[in-house]
Amino acid sequence: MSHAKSQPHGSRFAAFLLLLIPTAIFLLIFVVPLGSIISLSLENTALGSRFVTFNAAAENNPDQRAQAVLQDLGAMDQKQLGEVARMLNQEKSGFRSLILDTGKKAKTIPPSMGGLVAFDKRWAEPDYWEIISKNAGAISWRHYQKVSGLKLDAAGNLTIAKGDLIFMRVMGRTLVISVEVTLLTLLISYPVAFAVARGSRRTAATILTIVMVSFWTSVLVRTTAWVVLLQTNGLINNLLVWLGIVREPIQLIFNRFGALVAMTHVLLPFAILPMINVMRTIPKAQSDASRSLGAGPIETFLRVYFPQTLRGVAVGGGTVFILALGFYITPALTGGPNDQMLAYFIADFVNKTLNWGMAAALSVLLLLIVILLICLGKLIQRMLAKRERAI
Amino acid sequence: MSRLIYWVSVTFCASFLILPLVVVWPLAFNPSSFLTYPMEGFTFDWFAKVLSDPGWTRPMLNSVRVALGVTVLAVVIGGLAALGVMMTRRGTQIVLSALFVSPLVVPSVVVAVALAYAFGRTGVGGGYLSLVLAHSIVAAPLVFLSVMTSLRGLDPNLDLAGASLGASRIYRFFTVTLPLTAPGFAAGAVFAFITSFDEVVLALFLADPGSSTLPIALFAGLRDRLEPPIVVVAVLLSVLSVLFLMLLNYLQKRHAAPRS
Amino acid sequence: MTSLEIKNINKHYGAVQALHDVSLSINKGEFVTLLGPSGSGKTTVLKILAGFEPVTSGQVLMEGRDVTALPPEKRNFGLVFQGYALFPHMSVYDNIAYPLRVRRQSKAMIDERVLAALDLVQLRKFANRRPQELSGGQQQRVALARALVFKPDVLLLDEPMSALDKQLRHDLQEELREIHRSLGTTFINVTHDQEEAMHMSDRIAIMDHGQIKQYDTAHQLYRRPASRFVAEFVGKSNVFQGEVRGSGSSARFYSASFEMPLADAQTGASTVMIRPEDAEITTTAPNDGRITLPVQVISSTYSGDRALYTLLQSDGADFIAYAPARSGVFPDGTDIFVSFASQDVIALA
Repeated sequence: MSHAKSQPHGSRFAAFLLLLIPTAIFLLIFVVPLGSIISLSLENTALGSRFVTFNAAAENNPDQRAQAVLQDLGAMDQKQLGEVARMLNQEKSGFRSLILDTGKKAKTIPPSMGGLVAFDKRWAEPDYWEIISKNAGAISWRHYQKVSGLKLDAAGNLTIAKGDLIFMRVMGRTLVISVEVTLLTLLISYPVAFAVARGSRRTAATILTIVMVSFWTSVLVRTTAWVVLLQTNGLINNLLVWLGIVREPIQLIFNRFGALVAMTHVLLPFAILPMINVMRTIPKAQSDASRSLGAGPIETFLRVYFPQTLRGVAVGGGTVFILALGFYITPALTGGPNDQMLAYFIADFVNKTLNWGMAAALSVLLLLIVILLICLGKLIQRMLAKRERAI
Repeated sequence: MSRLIYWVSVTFCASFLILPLVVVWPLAFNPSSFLTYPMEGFTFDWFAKVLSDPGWTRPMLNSVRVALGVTVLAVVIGGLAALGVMMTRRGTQIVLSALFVSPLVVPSVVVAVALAYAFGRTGVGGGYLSLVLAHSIVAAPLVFLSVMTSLRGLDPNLDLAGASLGASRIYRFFTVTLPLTAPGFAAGAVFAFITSFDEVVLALFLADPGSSTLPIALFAGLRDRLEPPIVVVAVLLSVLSVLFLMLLNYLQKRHAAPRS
Repeated sequence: MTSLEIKNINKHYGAVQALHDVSLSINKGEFVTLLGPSGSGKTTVLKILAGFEPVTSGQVLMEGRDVTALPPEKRNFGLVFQGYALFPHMSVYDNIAYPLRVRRQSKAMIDERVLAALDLVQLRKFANRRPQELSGGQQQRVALARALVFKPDVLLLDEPMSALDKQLRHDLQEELREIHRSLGTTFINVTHDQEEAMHMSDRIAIMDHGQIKQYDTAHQLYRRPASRFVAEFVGKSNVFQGEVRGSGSSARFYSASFEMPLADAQTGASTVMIRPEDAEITTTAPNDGRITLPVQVISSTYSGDRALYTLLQSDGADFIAYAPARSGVFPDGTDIFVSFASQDVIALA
């Protein structure tokens, strides 16, 4: 009998009262802000709100459009004009001077197509008009184009912009590092979890304490330890030199090695704990039975024990992978410039260039990948559960 | 043979987990300003230096202030959420649980961008309030899960017994439900405090100079120059973590006792 | 005088109907047991009485007052839970004091009544213990004291003995009856144990598939079961299927193995029943007008004063009968006769 059913009737109103505050807070300071970064990533007020008259003008009436452009440009102050010129220049070079020049004289130029072309003959080229009308809308895919490196050209074809694949490369790197960290973590977690689940009481208690202490120590503190250990004149280098393994200190930090070691260490407990949970449910008598049926210890492990622990490996690995994708602090402190992940660039856009649009677009990308992976994980879990029930 | 493989791998992996911490801590007591062995002696000078440097003590106090605020807010939000969710039907339970747990899986950078933007636009601004709100959203799921676990372990008949003896819903909550799930709330509070106290990413985005927290100072220090005070702060944070871990163990033992 | 009345209660869980038109009236001070197999709906009735489950339709009346929609805390019904549901974080004293504190009684009054309740269940010296430090039987009595201390209008008992061993169960039944007699409170007990039901109750409601099959005293249920289900559920029985021919005073019952007069029975297919203690076993057929069937001993269970025989009739059906066993037991395979008087045959609907 479910708990809910055994509740005295009338409990639905009480539940509503209790849930009112937490739900409101979660919506207001979590769900809505997350949603707002989607709109932030598409937002185009900097351009869209400057071309109000133009957006309202009929597209097949050149004179009306010319008049509208002049009216909009004339309404901008110096700062706004500069911003609009800069943003349009990103789409086509030469736009800056065209906007700035036209803007300065907007009041004096005759409000017709003829007048505009007479002022600057670049206005005769349809390209410029195309770009204005594509970028003056209320929303813009600009940030996503930059993130993906893909561009819709004037003819409507998808093209890869040259040299603009940087964020796809960052994305790829983020995935590669996450996979590497996940594999390393699983490799190290398995024996630890096994020892906790199967070892003698004392071994299990000792190792579990170690895992818990590590888990509870803050990520930053654990990263600090690795920075101290791996630095050029740090403990490990001194030890290697003292042992005569290397003559000169070697670079152990601010490269991929440092990032992987520190990230693996930070994420280990997240793999170990679910593995322990699964391993503890496997009765020891199974292995004894296998041994009594004639299988050796290694064969018993591979055939009887290991397959049953895969569920824990999957949960642990999935958790580590998802967490690794969003990592920022640890790689920032232990990796080199070529080991920075997506999160680093998100932070960079906000902190250095105040480019919220790009930060939002990259955040949406990261969030989508995480959501996708969680759905995938749930799906796999459900499929496994179904198979288990079928057996 | 298989025992050898077992012991070698277990020893190696367990050492990897704990040695980096254990080996580095003593350096906080090393008089030398080089963070390496052999130790040149034993001193508390670096501790004294850290504890008298406002560059460290001010962030420390800020962290405590923020974490205390977060503990209160997260326990209220997470606790109410858990109590409410337990009273709903199964389908609603699944949806609401997903909502209340979701901040745990969203990368903290994404939460940070979203909140920094939202707080900036709504006038909450940076600083103490924004830090408490942001950390509470990340800490509330831990309270929620902790309280849910203890509510699930509660015999539903106890509440019904209270009702049959004439106790109103509120009286029952304070005399039956709350005392029996108090360890769950306490564990949630511990989780919330330590989560906030250790949190860096949200703090980096939301703190203003006046509300800079200890992890921010540590992060800045690490980027700047590696000095013994950094290790001292790391040791202090670790001691705090271990203390909280012990507190949590104690709470869990107490929780298990009445149901024996 | 009717104290509690259940009127035409129906209860649905989604598409499943758990209770069909259940009606029951209980007198003040009566000890009534709801008896039935698991899934018969008896616990659902109890939950509805306690106020834990809403009804789909129907009414619960307490001394004429409609309490159907009243929440449990407003009903003033005591309830002893199956697993006792004692508060683990309170002492025995605080558990029993709980309903009095809820009712804002004075400290002196609480003390007086808790101690009286503890005396009633003979647990005064355990007042400061935690429930989990007591034995199952003691916990049971604490639960009873807690449910009685606030002088409820009705005491509900949900399988109160199910977790106890047999000897303890017997002692507690005695104690419970004693308490019932001394307090005069209306008791409603739910159980699947027919011995417990017959031992303690003034009246028993037999339930099956969400319906009350019969509501009567133990003696009436045993001697005058209204249906085959009741006959077979209460005590042991031998059931014969057959046919009634004729009508009125000349109606007769015909089965494969015997026939007999069955006055005023409905013509058509019919079922009759004979209790095993009403049959007699002899080595030769008695010639005294009793119905006699030749049988063979299949097995016997000896219990000192008597033996219970399982016998094989000529048509292949079983027959069970008690017989005195002072001079030994008939060995398996013996051909003997079983006989019974036609006035001991009970017609079932």
